[in-house]
Amino acid sequence: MKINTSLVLLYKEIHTWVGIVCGLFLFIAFYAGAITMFSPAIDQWVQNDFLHPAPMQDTPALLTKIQEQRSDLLKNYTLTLMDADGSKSAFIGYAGGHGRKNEGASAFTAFLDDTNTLQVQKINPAHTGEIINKIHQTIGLPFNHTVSEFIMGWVALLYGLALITGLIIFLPGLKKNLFAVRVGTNKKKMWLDIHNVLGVFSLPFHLIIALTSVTFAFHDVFYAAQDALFYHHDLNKTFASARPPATPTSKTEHVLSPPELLNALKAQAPNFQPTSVSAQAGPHGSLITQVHGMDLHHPMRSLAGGFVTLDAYTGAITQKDYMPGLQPTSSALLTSFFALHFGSFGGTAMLWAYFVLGASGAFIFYSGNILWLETRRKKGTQAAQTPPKLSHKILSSLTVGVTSGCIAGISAIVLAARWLSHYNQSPDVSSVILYYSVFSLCVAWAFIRKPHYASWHLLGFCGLITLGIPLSNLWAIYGTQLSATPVTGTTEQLIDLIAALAACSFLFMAYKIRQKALKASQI
Amino acid sequence: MTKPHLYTLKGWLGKSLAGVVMGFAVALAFSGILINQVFVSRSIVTVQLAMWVMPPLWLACVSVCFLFSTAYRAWFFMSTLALILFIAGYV
Repeated sequence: MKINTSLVLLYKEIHTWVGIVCGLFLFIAFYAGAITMFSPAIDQWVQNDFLHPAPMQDTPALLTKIQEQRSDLLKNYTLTLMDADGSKSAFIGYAGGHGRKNEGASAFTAFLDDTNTLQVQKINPAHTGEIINKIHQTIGLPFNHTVSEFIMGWVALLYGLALITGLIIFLPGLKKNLFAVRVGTNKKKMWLDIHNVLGVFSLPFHLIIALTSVTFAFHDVFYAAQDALFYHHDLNKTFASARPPATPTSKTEHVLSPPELLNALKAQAPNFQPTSVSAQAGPHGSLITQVHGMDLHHPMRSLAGGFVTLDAYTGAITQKDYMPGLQPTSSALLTSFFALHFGSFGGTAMLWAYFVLGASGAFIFYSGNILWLETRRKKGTQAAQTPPKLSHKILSSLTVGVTSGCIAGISAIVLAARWLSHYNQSPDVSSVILYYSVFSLCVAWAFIRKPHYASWHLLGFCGLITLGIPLSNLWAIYGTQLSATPVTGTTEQLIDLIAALAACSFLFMAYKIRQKALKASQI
Repeated sequence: MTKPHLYTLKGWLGKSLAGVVMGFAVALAFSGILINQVFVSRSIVTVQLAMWVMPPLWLACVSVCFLFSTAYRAWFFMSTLALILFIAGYV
């Protein structure tokens, strides 16, 4: 394919600069994003200690007891279904807080003990998955969420530009370079080939991620502009019309219990797998009853699936806009945009595919930085023995520090959350502090030591911390009474497996780089 | 044979600002055509679709703004395009 040479050169220059500006932010976004594919499993892994699940048919009795003694907890509660067939559930009631995710609420679990008396315990559910998700959404920036997300939007737009320019640069040599990975003495060529192969084959994924991220960051701006110009400032009315409908209170009918609700839903949507039932008090004594769940045959709005709103007295579906499989085609189209970003379609296989694509995405940005450094290093050695430029030094230290800081920081919060929540301490606040401490330590170390040494020190550090994740579960299984409850679910054990594999590869890379560093210092 | 056009990074700031600012206007104006001429009646779905159409158009404008020979031309052509689309959306 022939393209004007000066255009290719122009786009190459833009690609390089945009890449240098955004590469490390994108590394954090993609690494954290790949891990959020398992965030429900991580939260389960962290907090398998404090819920007291009971058989589903006992919930009406439990709810009656709560109504008598702690009716305040019934204003906003969720019954989490603990296993695939929904035969066991645990009660979580919320006080205070706001929004769909009950942010800032105090949570209580309630259960009947052996003597059939009601026990209410304050719990500190860990939001470790959510915290990793926040790091993903804010590209690791420590500012307030709105500001960070706004910056993320600009990074996403530049990332889109990098994709388009990168594609144009690659097209002229497409035939020659498509499958080539030239491993050999020319290090720069090798990194370029890896960068290209990964980039070209995951281009559709990257374009989707770039465009959806721009949308997530700027949708308020887009809506505000459209509202002012085309909607005569009454766009809010349209959004209000889409709120989940509340069932008006009825004195004569009986409110369906959760098992009855689930049976009524089963008749209307046999493929839907409920994961939780929630009830909230609406205005004027009305009730908002929803069932969250999954339907792996259809795209879903998030990894947690979709939800349906039901009539509290009859169990009839009153809103299905977010219900996989039952939503109208136009809503399904919108859902698919979300599903394409979150990988919430196609079940477990897609979960893994998105994990791999996300992690390899992080690697593309890392390799991009290495390419820049290698090119500058070569130019430096050709132009006599001039000392390396300051910009070169800064970028190589930053590349090592930021990538390892992000990896070590995330492993550290997963590990710490597991132990803290075992002692019923909320790990949420300390997780955020811990992440940024580990992150800044790594960056500082990368600047203090020479890049070659820093990179094996820091990779080794990443490996050791990550190794702590499977080790603490082994400790729980074989350890003394001091240990946490062992994790036995299959998806949760996957976390141990992934962490063990990742730790081994970090340690192996550290070992290799150490050998090279020692060799270089001997010459 | 005509000499191939020479693309350069000269005036990149003005060009990229044209792409970002006028590109936003172009995307917004196009969504206006969808809202006023295509969808006409408004629902929670059309409102969202009209929003989702903006990012791809915006990105396209940001990507091509460097192809104009001068920043001045980039601003001129992009704002003319935006103006035409706005008029099409309103009439």
